[in-house]
Amino acid sequence: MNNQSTPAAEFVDVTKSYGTLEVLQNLSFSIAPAERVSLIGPSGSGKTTILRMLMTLEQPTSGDIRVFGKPLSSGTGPRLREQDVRAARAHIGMVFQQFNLFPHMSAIGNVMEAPMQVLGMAKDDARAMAQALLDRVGLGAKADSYPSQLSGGQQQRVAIARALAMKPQIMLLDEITSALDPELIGEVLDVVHSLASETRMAMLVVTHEMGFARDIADRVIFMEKGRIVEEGLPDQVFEDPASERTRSFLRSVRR
Amino acid sequence: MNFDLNSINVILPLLLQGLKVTVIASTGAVIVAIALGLLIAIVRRSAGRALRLAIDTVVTVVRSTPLLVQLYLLFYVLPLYGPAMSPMTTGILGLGIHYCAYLSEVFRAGIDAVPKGQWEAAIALQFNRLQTWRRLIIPQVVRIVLPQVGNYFISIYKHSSLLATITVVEILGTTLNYAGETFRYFEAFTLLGIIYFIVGFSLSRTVGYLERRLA
Repeated sequence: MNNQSTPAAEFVDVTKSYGTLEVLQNLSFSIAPAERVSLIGPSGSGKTTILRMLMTLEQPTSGDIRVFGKPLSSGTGPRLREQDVRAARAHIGMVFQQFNLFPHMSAIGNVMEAPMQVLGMAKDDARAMAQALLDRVGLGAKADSYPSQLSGGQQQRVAIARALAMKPQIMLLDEITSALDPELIGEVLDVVHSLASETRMAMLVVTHEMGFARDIADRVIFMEKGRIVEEGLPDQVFEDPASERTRSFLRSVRR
Repeated sequence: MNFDLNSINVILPLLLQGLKVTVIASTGAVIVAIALGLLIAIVRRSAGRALRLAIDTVVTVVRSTPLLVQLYLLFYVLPLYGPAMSPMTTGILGLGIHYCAYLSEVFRAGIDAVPKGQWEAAIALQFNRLQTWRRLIIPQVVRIVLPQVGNYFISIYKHSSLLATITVVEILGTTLNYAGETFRYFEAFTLLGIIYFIVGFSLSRTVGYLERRLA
């Protein structure tokens, strides 16, 4: 994508290794504001590691990561100041494979907590916003239920509402349907589709649902063994991949 | 010597007075033990090697020596080199320090039992460290450790009887004083045992109830 404005997120020559195992090798890519990018590829190709580094759950071994032009982490340069990292990170939200809802709080409590604690929002305002968000993910009636009383699909929709409450400009979706029973996947993907059409958040999506990866994205990136093998428009990557590696991966997942 | 039922009229009010002191001492001690134990567990997690070794050494020493010896050291030896505290303060601190060594292990296990995803969700929602501990981790740890902490509270309650040896007139001290003057050991200690049992039994039922409710 040829975009003149500052990228929403930018990886510059990022390498991540655990001991001798290189998970990502000299990776460089960027996402434009409001762009939706799907990361696809076999397990262990480093897709999730990209998301986790962007959320600062992992640090790059070398290379730089920037968010709206500001440094988020630097594997080589001087150590970044905590407050700068926090400022850069504040643009980013994440939804996890395992939901990670707070079990001691109700659905609405989960959504209200960060706006109140972190943004200092008044309780009534936070409650009103949280209720609106739960309505939006179709769970307005479940506001007072606890996570243990909700199905996996419902929990994941609460987790989406919770992430939205912090108004991120970049949303990371890390295999958000992988822990769900097949019949619950649709309700979660429907929510993400409607978000995509109603907001201008950038989205970086790691998924094994190929239909979703294709439909949600402006651009698809196929990765293997810590490298980008191919990227392009969804139709092009899925219909007419340039690389034989992409072709054989798509064949294997479509079987 | 026969059991003199009439003496109960005298003993019971005395013992209930002593029980009040026992309850205050036990409650104070459990608060000290929880606060210190939690502090140790949290500091230990992010401490460097040297500090961690220091903490572990102290915890091991406290756990490997008798509470009675620790109380004597605090009460008779410490004032020679440091501040003299009232018997009650010494007793609460002594009990609290002794049990914080055990509770720190309970809290450590409780903190480890909170899934890693909770910490990651906290980062993803921009919580700082203090907010993460206060709002997300500790409330979950409390639910996990409550039954064990309850059992240690019962243990503290029973061991508070040792404070009689450092002149705290709690329920055992009251009993000893009364029996020493009147030689009514039979009546006094029978009643003491019954009161200890009633309170201890109620406590353990309460812990059991909490355990079932949280399970």
